[in-house]
Amino acid sequence: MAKIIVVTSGKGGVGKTTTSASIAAGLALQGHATVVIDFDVGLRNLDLIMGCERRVVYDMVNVIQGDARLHQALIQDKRCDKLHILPTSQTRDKDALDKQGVGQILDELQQSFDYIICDSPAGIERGALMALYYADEAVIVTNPEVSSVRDSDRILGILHAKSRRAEQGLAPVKEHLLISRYNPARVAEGEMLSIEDIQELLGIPLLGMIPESESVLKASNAGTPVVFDRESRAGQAYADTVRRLLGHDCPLRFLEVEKKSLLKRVFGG
Amino acid sequence: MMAAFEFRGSAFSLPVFQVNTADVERISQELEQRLLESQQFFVNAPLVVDVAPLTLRNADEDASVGPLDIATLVRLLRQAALLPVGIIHGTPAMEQAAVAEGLAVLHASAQHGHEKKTPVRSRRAPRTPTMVVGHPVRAGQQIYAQGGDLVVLAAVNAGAEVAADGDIHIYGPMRGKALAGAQGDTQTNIFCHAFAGEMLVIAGHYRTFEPSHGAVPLQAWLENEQLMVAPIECIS
Repeated sequence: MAKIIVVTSGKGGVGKTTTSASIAAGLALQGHATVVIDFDVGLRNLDLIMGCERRVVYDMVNVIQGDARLHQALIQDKRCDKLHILPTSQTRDKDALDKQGVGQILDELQQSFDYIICDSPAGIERGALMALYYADEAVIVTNPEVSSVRDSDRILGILHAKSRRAEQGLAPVKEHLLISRYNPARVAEGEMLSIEDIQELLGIPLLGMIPESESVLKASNAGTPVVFDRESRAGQAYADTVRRLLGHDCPLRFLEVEKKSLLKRVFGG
Repeated sequence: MMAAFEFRGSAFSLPVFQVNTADVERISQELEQRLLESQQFFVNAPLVVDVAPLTLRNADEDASVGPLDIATLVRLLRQAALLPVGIIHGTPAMEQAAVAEGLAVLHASAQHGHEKKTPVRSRRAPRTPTMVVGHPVRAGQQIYAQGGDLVVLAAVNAGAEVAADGDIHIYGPMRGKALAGAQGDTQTNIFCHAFAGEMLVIAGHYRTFEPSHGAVPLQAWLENEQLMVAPIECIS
């Protein structure tokens, strides 16, 4: 049985799609058959981040409505053959999703994959509820600021009350905290919440910390999940995150304040 | 040297499972329903099985189902993750069956003996069991303990709301909103082990709090329609 993992946050713009792409690619690079699904119907982005937007012919909504078969909509990644993406529709809205249709797709995907990553849209409405409903585990993406932490708390409450596991009285969804856009220098200045502050407020185990890094934006624009960039701190931090998700012990890195070299200080960097 | 153990007298208040019918099938169905509604609150709760309604009235009323099968009832309760520990007001046969299932036979205090045939309901003041919440109450969630007290053993986060018709006790960090005496009872109180909350309300009288650094043990009550707060100081 494949493990279903939702990547969610409540708040928009915190890095859900970046995280979904990198976790899915990271799992695939470790040899696990992985599919990542875009639940943001109408605001299709995952295929851009994954660099396969020109290859989208059919999407998840076509499959739910019976206009295409699942294998016609699945796109195999060109960099890693264990990685697949199920894109969503740009022209429809969230009402195109329903529990039964999503459930059937997930059932079918469970036959051939080890991990199913559900990239949730922002908000707490239908799209987000559909993305988290069938989850076994949840990665809560949080930025080190109060509004993001508050929205993460809200989505944790919804996971606890409205997921399939909650409704059927099964073991609760396993929750992981992923802090992204973390800048140790600004934490030291008191401009950002620290990892400890966030953990105390949310009270769930920390899966990883992704340092703020230009490489994330560059990778997104290039259509390459940042985890493929082994030189960047963000890429390495995602690789560590995936190892922890797989149960390996892996200490947190990049907590120290990065010292700027003299050259960078002179010329700006 | 201290003795390895000692016997001491002590009084405990235990929830009572009052059996109103000898029809175990019906009990089973209703139990399932009620446990679903109350979620985990009764899990591993020790219970005293009170069969007074069956033994204190005319025996032939429930002739269709025969006498209560204690062994089946006890097994049913255990399956539902309840812990029956004793029986009260049983017939000698019932008591014998209960002992065989590992239960103790309890005796009511003198003024409420079998012979007096006092109606069971009038002996106990009506009281709603305390609602105990063991998980964090998160932003946007509401918890309401209708008719009784509320105990929260985890955090109440900013943007969360807990309410009770009776008192509220919060043992985790309290960062949200708490409303005691939600139906207007001005004698209710709120106790917080670590208060850094947004708002406290007792019977409609409220007080808001500015963001604070660090949490303090706090109690709140009503005095002349004013919501009063003070640190909790333990007398040692």
